[in-house]
Amino acid sequence: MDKDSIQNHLEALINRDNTAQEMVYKHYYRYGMSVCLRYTSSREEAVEVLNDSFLNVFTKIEQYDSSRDFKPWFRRILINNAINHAQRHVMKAKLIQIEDLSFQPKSDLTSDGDLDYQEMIELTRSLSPMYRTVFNLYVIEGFSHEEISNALQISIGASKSNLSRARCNLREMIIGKYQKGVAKYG
Amino acid sequence: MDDQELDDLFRKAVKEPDIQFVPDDWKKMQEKLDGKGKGVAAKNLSKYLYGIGALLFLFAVSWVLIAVDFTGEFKSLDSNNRREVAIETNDLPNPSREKTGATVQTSDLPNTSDLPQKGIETAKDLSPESNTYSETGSPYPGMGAGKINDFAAYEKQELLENSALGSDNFTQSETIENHLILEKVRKPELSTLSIRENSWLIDSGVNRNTMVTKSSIDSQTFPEEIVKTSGRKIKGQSKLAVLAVFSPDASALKINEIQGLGANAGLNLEYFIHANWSLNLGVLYAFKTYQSPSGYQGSYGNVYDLSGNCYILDIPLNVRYYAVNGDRDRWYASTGLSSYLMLREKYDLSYESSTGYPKEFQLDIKNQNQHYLTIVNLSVGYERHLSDNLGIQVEPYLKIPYSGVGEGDVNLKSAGVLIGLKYRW
Repeated sequence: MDKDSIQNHLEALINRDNTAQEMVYKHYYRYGMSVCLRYTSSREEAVEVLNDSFLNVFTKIEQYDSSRDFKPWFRRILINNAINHAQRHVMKAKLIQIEDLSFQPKSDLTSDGDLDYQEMIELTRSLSPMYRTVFNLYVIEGFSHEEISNALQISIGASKSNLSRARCNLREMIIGKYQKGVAKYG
Repeated sequence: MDDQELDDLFRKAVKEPDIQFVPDDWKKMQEKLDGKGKGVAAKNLSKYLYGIGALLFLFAVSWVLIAVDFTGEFKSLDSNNRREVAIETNDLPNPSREKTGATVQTSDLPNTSDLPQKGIETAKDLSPESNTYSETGSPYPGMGAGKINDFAAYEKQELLENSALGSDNFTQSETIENHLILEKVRKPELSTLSIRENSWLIDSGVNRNTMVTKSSIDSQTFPEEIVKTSGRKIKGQSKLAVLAVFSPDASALKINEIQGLGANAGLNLEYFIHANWSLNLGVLYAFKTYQSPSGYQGSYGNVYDLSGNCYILDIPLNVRYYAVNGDRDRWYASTGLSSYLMLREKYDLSYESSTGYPKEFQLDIKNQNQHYLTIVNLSVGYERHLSDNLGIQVEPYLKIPYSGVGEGDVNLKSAGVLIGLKYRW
């Protein structure tokens, strides 16, 4: 879908045009899921967050400034919903699902020692929701600890601590499970 | 691997998402769009309806109980008394008839020796003129008008006292009914005569009529033993009372896991819908602390230790029944529903990770969870009167949620003893 076409669909969202909604959904699905999967414990949760975000897009499209790129606005919505989701589900032991389950990598690291997307998702899902959220916000989204503390309503110290523990856990898992693949980092 | 290398590893992976579109996800999205949050709204609506239904049920139950109570009291009235009261209602004063004393039954007249001493003394202070009028107009040989006048005052005082009786044997409605009868007797005369004439009439005919009513009520409708056993008289008190309460609070998920004490403090407004029944609306700031060392069962696994500290706005709405009314104290039972507005929830969770090492994390959640009318309150209490307006209460209570409380939807039960200072206007 070319840029003009998607822009037309975005504008048509104001009229609650169902075809436009479907086109926009399909066009930004991959991007949206790539964000949501990183913040959630399962694909089902990721879809839930994604659809909540699209619902916000479709119902609050008037707030979108069409002179600017859509992605950053959409990304912000995705992250806000992901944070809300993490906060609401953090105690409901979704994290235990992953932490309690033994980590079962589907494949080794790629031959050059890099992670593919699926491996990265599996690793981050091993973290508790709070660690995972802080790690994603800091490392992937580029939030500062102050911004994270505001977003998650935790102290800056807690943000730093969670990030440190998240890194430690990830490092431990990578070294332990992928000793061969990450030998060059050892 | 240092932090920078680790971060770069993940940043690089993010750039290559391999995600295929799944048509079912769009179907879910369409369902969401069709509903536009209808599901959420319906969920919330059902909660509200459930709460409203529970409230209506409480009101209905209390109303039925009150109605039964009133019926019982009416039945307790002797049918002859009711007929006599009805006759008195129709027997509006007729000055000419009263002067003849045609309707007066001497057997119903009060014994003058029973009149209050104060009234007799007052009679001595009356002017000769007044005495002349009274003696001339009095239909009762040997009874001075001053005595009659004072009897009216005595009777009025009695009525005022009776109107505030709060017992089973003497309901407010009956008092009001009798009071209205007497008012109907008085008013026509007061509105048509001068003050002097009015005074004379009160001394003679009107009061005579009133006396008949009073004597009937005293001798039959409200026999002496009933008045004596009617419990504590609440003189001139309104239907409203306010209560400042404090309570230690023990909360736990399981009864054998009580560790540490929280506290409640707040205000309770009590509205008496009947002498023995009241509605209570409170606002309590509650701190509840609990631990679950045996493990909070999560959705997918065990949390091996849970420690929670919750700051809650507890809004109870209860119905209270005063079962035992003594001269100085009362016993009551209370039930109703509470709403919990979770102001802040702080949790410490620890669990065993796949590596075998214990993992810990903390949660700090603010204003995320509200539970409307989902906590059942049960309590019994003892109230001791300190004065006409002041009282102290001790009320052991139990709070049991019928749906999950807080972020973890836990079955958080609470118990404690509310200690309150009550003021009733």
